[in-house]
Amino acid sequence: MQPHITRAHTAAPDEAQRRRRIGRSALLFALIAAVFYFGFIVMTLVRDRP
Amino acid sequence: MAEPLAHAASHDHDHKPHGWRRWVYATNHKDIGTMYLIFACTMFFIGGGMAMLIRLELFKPGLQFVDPQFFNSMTTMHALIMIFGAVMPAWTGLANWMIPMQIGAPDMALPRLNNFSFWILPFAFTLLLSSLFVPGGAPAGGWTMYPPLVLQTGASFPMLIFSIHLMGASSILGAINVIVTIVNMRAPGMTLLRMPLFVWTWLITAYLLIAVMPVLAGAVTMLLTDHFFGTTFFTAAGGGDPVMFQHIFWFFGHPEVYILILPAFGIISEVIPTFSRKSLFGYEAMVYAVASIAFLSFIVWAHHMFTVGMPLAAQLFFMLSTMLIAVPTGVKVFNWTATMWKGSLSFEPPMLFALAFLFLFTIGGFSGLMLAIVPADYQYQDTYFVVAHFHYVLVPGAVFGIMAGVYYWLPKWTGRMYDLQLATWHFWLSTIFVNVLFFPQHFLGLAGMPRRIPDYAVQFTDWNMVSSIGAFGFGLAQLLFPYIIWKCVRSGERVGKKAWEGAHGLEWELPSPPPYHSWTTPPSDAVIARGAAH
Repeated sequence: MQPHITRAHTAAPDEAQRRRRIGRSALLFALIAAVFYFGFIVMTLVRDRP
Repeated sequence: MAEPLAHAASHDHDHKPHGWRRWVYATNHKDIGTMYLIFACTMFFIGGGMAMLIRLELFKPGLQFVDPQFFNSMTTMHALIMIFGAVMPAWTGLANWMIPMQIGAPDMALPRLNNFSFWILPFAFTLLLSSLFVPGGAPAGGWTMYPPLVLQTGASFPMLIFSIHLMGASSILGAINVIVTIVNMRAPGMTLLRMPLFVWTWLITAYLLIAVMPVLAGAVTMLLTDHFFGTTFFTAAGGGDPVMFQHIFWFFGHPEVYILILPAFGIISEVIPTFSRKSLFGYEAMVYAVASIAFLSFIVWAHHMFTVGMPLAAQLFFMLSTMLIAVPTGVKVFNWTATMWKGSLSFEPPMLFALAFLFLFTIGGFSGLMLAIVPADYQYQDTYFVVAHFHYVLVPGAVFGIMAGVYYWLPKWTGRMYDLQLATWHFWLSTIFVNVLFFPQHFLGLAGMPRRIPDYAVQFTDWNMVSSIGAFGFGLAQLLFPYIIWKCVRSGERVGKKAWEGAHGLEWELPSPPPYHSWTTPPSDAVIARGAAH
């Protein structure tokens, strides 16, 4: 069964644009999280080198 | 033509799935919020059970009930479960329930991601809890997982690391959802400075989560590779640095404290104006204070490690930056007090919990200032004074904030009023016993009792007995909480859309209980302006 997803204010003409904005900002924050994850590992690696 | 007609005939405006599918495939913010809250409550009692075992063992000196290894597992697991399993999911549950309703949105921006971030959690905690049954027992090196000690963990080590990765992933996905929702889904007219304080504090909390949870994930990934793949990130023999782990851990760990407490600030800022029948004093100052606290939380981490040794300049920097946090926190305490000044106060359970928060969290703040003083910290480090400090921040702080929020919004969620008298009993028993439990720990710590030990010198006996009695009383009092909620859902008196006469905010413009999809039509500007009465 497909879950029902609420369409945000579906009557709005800029709905597609809003969906794109949501997707883009979610990706941006995921990217920031990934940078922190790998950044700290790389930083430790570099610092540990004699 | 037949298809649209058939659709129209079966059209259900709520589109509410039924049975187990409603929960497993849940994409509705209220359903997911409810699941988060039930999960958090369950974990609260599991973690609380571990705390009871700890206090039982510490009731008198000597080893009575558990062996030292198991005792250490209990302290480690208690912390991990309470932080990642109880308090954080409770905040996410409250965010799920309230943020869309408070900003005039129909749901969270990413409903499927919301489902995923919740359903990760039961797997993470099943994994963590099942480590109790593997050879060598559950992790026992403390929730801070300092190497090299943690690298000696037995078969439960990979379970610990993987469960922390899962918890972190869940938190990051939840935080992304919160930010994206607040940024993109606000109703027209709901400007940033019209948003309720709970939404503001959650927005800032979500930014903190995205910045620091990956850092924890990175740290435990490095522990994993040190343990299994021969790397030496934190092993001195291979050129690594165990103190580096402490820096990385506390770069995550200190903002984590604010992740646990900032949403409570938001709730207190909702509850106090409602039961004072006044607008919040200094709304904008409150927003800037929260933002300042969040910023400062990134530059204070090493106050957790003064005794590992660091240059004098670093000690001074971290001492002074830590003390600086008292300024925005003082602004908040002042503004809450000023909100009550000359207000028409009434003392329903949410207000009682908010007031207890105000007094007791401030005690935790003051002992934090004491710990920030470098020379004094050399005395306090790793004693029960630290245990007393952070429990004052997290129990009458974060947990009472959650209680205040649940008692405040429960009539909205259920459409029914709970038993106010019983909830008042819950409040008084909790408040009395939480002080009996944690206040003597200040004395124990100042007298030199170390933390994380199952046995102690006989001179510490009396206050340990008092503390344990407080723990048993507090633990028993919490059993009232699920009973009050169950009784409310089953037979509470019906309430209208505005359960509290002094309440403001968009959530109180919706019926109680609110419709399955909150704001399918955005609220008008007049409704938003009425709600944002600050």
